[in-house]
Amino acid sequence: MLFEIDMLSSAPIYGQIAACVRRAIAGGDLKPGSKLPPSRDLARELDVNMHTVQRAYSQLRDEGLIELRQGRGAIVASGLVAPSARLNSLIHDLLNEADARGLTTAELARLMETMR
Amino acid sequence: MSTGRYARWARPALTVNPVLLGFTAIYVAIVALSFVAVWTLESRLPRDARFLTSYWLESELIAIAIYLAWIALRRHNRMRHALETVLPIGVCLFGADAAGLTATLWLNVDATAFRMPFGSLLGVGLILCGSFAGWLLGRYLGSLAVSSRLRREAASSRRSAWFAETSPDRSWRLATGITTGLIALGLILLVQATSPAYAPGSPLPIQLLAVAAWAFGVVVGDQATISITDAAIKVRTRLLSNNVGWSVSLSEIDGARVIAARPEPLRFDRSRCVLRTGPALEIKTVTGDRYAVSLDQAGEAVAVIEALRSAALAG
Repeated sequence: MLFEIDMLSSAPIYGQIAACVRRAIAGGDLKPGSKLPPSRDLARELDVNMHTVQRAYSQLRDEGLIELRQGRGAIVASGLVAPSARLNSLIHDLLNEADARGLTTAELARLMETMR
Repeated sequence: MSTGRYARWARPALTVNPVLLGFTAIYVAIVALSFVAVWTLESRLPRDARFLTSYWLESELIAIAIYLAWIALRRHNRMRHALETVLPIGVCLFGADAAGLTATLWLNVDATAFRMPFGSLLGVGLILCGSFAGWLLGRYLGSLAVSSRLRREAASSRRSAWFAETSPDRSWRLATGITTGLIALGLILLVQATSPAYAPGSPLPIQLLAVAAWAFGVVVGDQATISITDAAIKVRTRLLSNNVGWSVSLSEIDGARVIAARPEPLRFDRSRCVLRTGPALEIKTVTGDRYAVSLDQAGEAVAVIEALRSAALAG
């Protein structure tokens, strides 16, 4: 999977990394059980601090999107279902907008709950 | 034309590959110190102490000659791409030799009969710890050696990294098994036929067991990790067989394409990380070298490489 970050963006780097994973899961590029790169490797290749990647992974774990297993690294949570193409597109747009405004997925989910 | 205080061959060697040169200098120093240690303690060692130098040290002179030959090679890269391999394997051997020699001296100082370290838990444990510590250090040094070559050229604000993994299939296990078996058999037969130093405390079953454990580890536990960034493409294989890993900076790439590849026994080309029969990513560099890695998502990888190269050219 492709990780892309912009160091000049107002969004925090860990948020950008988490957003890449969310997009890949939403788009079906990452299936349940898929392994994410080890935080050390990802940090080295992106030239960022390892704790930044770990923070992104922790956030994704708290959102229930990935599981962090001792000795096996980060794995996309089982039971996640890839939505339809139309829904994918809408979710992408929504996530991008939320990223730009510095909203986490959890905050976005709460906002959506209040609107129902 | 004057070359200053360096000989004509030394300056390019220092320029192109200072890490390998430093590594060889340390190797020479360790072997020399080991000979001095054995000669200093000679009066307190049993009569058969000549095994110490013949077993642990004389073979190292051959290794030193090989490293010096690599440095002297008139190739454009002069092992530049192989440091990730040379350093882990080389420093692992340093560790095994240094620990083996230390254990042998420990067991034989003031002893009446000569003993090899393989007969005691202390000796075997020391050799294993020395090998592992050396391998860890060598892997770290190897990654340091290539990091400067593969650094991002500009302080770009946008950074990209694409990751994938490849695991070996049955065809790779078969090719590796045949290659390892034939090499091990040849080496063991050669050693048994030519070196009397191997006789005491070093029976054939121990050597066969060690080779079998190594081969099993490689065949069962290996896989490759491929990373493509806006700086370089890196292919790393796990643990024991990192000798097929490679890395090429983005600026060195002339083109990328998808090919069909299959593992071949007795093919020693570290630029071909072919772990399974099927699609593979092939990179051609501006100097004409070709690198390959088995990859189910090779088409996607080619697209990522082309996009990153276009972005680099545009930027």
